[in-house]
Amino acid sequence: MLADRLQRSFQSFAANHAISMGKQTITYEALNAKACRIGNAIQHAAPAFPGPVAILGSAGPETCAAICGTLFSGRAYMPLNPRFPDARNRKMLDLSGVRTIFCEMASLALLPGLLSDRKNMTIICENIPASLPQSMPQHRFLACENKQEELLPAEKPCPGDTAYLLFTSGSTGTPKGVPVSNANVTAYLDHVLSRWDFFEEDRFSQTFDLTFDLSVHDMMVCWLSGACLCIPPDPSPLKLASYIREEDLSVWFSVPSAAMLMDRMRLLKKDAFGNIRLSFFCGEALPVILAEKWFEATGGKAVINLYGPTEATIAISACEYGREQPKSKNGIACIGKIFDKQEYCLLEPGTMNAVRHQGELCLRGSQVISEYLNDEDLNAKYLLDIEGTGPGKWYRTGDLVEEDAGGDLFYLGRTDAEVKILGYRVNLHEVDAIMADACGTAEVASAAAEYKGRMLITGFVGGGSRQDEAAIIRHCRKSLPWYMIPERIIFVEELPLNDNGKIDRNKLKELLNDQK
Amino acid sequence: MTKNEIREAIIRQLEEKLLVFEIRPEEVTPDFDLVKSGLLDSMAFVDLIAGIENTCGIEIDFEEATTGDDFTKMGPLVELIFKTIDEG
Repeated sequence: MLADRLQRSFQSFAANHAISMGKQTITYEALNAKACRIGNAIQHAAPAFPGPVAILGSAGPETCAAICGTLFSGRAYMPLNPRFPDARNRKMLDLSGVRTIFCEMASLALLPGLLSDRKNMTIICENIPASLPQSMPQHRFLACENKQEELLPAEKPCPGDTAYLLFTSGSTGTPKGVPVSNANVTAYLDHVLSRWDFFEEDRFSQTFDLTFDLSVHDMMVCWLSGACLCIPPDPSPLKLASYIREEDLSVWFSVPSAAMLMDRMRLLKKDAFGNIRLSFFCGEALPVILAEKWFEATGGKAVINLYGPTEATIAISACEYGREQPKSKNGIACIGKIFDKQEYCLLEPGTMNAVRHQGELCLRGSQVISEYLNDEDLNAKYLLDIEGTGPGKWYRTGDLVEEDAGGDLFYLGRTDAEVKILGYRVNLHEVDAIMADACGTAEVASAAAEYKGRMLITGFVGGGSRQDEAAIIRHCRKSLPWYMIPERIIFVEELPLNDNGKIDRNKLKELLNDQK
Repeated sequence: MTKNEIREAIIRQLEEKLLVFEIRPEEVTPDFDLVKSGLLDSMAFVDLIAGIENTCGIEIDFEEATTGDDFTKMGPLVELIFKTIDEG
């Protein structure tokens, strides 16, 4: 199990640095002690309640220790994002039924707003400011500073038990809960740790929010290798280049957008990041031009393009670039072959007919989740039996891919209204639902199009009448994370429909292109 | 270009955003952080600078800018552009 492996690693590498953040460093021994204190506090708080523990905070020593401590206590963790609006975090609390929250000290001020509409939650933090329990008498506070460092015996999770619970954008206006099990994560880690070499001297980047599953790769691959996780003290992507140099990073992982930003700032010069020996990209399509620029900037070291939905645990295919010209299609880097031991097949979009060469990618295997969180409709829609393939559910990804003769896959696009913004999955139906709320009409639709290398969402409102554009966007900001908010609103007489009477998002995109 | 003209050029590019955020132009003081305030994401901030680079025919040294003062704040940003024009 993940917790056992972490504990063994924490002991083997006790004196190594586990975390570096600006001027602060923490050894494995110290991280372990912190994690045990939090794990014990969780067990004190809810000995009989086996549900997940929410963690509110940005990546840092406190939240890292809380993640380990939660796993040590035999429970799953569910990250909340301090940069999300309250409404979004509350939705995740509602859907998960979480009763215990670990909160980093820097995010304590968010609690009164976040928890104003509920009671009897247990809040764990390092130490409790005197004023807080008074202002939130309906909740229970628990400090972990004085708890013993020896870990209390905890219930051992089974392989099928959830290790982390994340939410991705859903089509109905409600985020989809994706419980990833211990078995799913260890299958991923086994593959990655055997395929690429990581050393205890390595210095790993940490560029993802904890609500993004790629953050799990950074933490777990790093700590199981005895290496140092380098967390940027200033999370601004504008500072990434100086962060790489100051932390002397050797292993890089980010969304392609982060590299694109550095490129636009003219910072991807030849050999600029010569100490990086291994780079991973995931989360969105990787333009092959960008892969080549990064390859040059790292002095010709390996660049690995990973692909995978949250439902298949972090990543499930990889393509490695070395000296030879990388494979690509439409300017997008190849996503490579599906990992050994995981299965894939292609379906004709919208049908159950198996096809070859080109189709919707379906995945099965030890990395693929067995069900969504409390949602039979989602299970029925995305986790399917396919005739003639034996027992075991397939996850239908919604990603259209092409397969070449050598088994390498190329990403072509989506079969539905999902788009990727800065690596985040955004289902445009979810944006529509919030816009409808703001406009008081169901005649709304959103579309995403690239503008100067950046995916931007534009909202469309039908019915011919003009409303207050700024007010609609403000309403969206109250419910949606920053990457889901429309950049502008366009008012039209009628929304374009396709032959089935559904919103034609391709036509909307054409409208956008006409306006440029 | 005077510092005041640079400031006005930036504000013009931000007009729609300020409306959404209900921020009046005079509230964008030298201490106002265009990114940390949530007004712009980093990509939009780089777009803003690209726009000003085009208008003024300059090229900002991001290497220097990102290690120095907080150049996402209005005051330091105006200074940076003024200095770059001056040296150009």
